[in-house]
Amino acid sequence: MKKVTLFVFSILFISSIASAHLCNDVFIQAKDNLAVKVDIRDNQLRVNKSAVFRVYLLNTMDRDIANIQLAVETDDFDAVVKPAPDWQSFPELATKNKGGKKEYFTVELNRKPSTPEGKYKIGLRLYNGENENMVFKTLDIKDAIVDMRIPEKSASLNIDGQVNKDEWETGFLCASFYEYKYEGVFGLPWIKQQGVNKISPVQTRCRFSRDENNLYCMIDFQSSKTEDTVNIYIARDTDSTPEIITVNLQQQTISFKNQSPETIAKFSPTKAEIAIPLAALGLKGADSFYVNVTRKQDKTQTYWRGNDISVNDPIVYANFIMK
Amino acid sequence: MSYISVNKMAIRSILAFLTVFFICANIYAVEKSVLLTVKPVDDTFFDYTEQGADPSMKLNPDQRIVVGLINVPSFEIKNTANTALYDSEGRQIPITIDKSSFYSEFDDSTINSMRISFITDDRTIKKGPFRFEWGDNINSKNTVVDKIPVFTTSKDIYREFTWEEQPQKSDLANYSATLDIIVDDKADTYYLWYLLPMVLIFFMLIIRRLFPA
Repeated sequence: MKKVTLFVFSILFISSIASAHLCNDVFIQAKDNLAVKVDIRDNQLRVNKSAVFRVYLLNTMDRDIANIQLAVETDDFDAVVKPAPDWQSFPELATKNKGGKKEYFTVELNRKPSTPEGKYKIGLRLYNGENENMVFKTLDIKDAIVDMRIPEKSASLNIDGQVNKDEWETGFLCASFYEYKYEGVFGLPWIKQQGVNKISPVQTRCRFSRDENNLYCMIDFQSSKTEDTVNIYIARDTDSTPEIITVNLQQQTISFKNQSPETIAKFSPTKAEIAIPLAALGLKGADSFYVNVTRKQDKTQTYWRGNDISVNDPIVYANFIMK
Repeated sequence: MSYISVNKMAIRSILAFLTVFFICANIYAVEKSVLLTVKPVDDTFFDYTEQGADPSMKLNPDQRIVVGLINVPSFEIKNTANTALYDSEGRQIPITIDKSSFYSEFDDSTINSMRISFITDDRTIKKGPFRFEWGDNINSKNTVVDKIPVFTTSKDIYREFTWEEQPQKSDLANYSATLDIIVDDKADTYYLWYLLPMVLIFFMLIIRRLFPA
C-alpha cells in the first residue's frame, strides 16, 4: 500500500513539474515567436467620440497558447476588447505549425466625457488569462508599432559592390540574425521540447534605402562558405504572398520571379549592393510594404524576423515606410 | 553672517550643483545597455569554437564560463574599455573580449560586434539577467585576447547568453507598449481635408469652362 501511494504521489509530482515547465516554455517562446501587428497607420489614432482598431496575432511557436487575453491600460477612455467573431478556439491561439491562423482582437476606445482634446497614450498588454501577472512579451507589440522609415538614398550611392560609409551610414539597418533551434528541457538534449531563437555565429548586416524608382540594399555577409544565399521577402500587405528575391554570394547573382533588366547586383568578396526596381515588385508609388530577410550559409539557416514556421507569412515581417 | 560662512555656503552650492551635474551627465552618457540572459549551451555551441584540452584556469564546481556574441544593432564602440558588465545586484564583472571576433561594418576603427566571455557562478546566474553597458564615458579594465578558447572536453562549465533590450521599468510585469491617441472634436471630419485639393481642381475646371481664355 505504501509503495502504491508513493508511486501515485511520484506520478502526480512529476506531471505537475512537467506541466509547470511546459507552461513556462510558452512564455520563453512567445518572447520571440508571437507575431503581433497593430493596424494603426503612422502610430497615431485620431478619436472624436470613439475609434476602433485591431491587434493581429500569429502564433509561430511550436505549440499552442492555451489562454491569451489583451488588456488596454488607460484612464482616459473606456476600452472594449473583443476577440474576432471567427476566432473559434478563443482564448486558445493555435500555432501556425498545426493549422493555426492569424487572429485578432478588436479594440474599441470610447472617449470619457471628462477627456478634453489633446494627446494621450494607451498601454497594450498581452497576458495569460489564467494568471494576469504572466505577461507575454509586449515589447513585440512595441516593435509592431514602430515605423521603420526607409531613408532616401545617399547622393553618393553608386551600386558597384564597394560599400562606403557615406553611401550607407544612414540606411535602415537590419542586423542580429538568429537561428531557430529546438532545445531540450533541463538542458537534456534527448528531450526536444521547445523552439527558441538563438544568436547565430553566422551574422548578416543589411541596410536599405530608396528613391522614387528603386529599393536599394547593401548586404554584408561578413563571412563566406561553400553556399551562401540571402533571401529578401517583400509583400504588399500582411495578406499577400511575398516575392522572394534571392542573392547568391558565390554565383554573384540576384533572381526573383518578375525580375526586370533594370535590377542591378554588384558584389565584392563578402558584400553586395543591389538596386531593385519597385515597379518590378508592383510597388511603385507604394507608401509602405512588408519586408523580411533570411540567410542560408551551408546548413545554417538564419532569420531577421520569423522562423521556419512563419517565414512566408508577412505578418511577422517589418513594415517599411517609404515616405 | 560672516564672509567665511557665506563663502562656505557658496562652495557647498557649487559642489552640490557639480555633483548633480556629473550624475546627470553620467546617466546621459551611458547611452545603451542590454540584458544578458544566461542559458545552457547545446552541441552546436562547440562547432564554431576551438577544440582542445582542459582549460588551465581553475574554477570552483559552481563556477561557469559564459561566452556569447554582442551583435546588438546599435552597438558601436571605439575602444573595448567603453564596455562594462554588471550582475543583477549591480556588481561589475570583468569581461574578456575576443579580438578575432571584432566586426566593423565600414572597416573603420568602430567595433559593431564582438564576442565576450565572463566567469560567474550558478547562484548569480539564478538571481537574474546581467546588464551589459557601452558608451564613451565607460572606462573599464577589460581583458582583450586574440581568441577566447572554448574546450570541448569541459562542456559542463560553459554557458551562453541571449540579449534583449532593457525594459524602461524594472518591473517586468509593466512591460507595456503604448500608442499615441489624439482626441480631436473634429476627428470625424478631419479626413474631409483630403477632398480639398480635388474640390479646388474641380472648381478651377468649372471656372475655366465658364470663362474660357
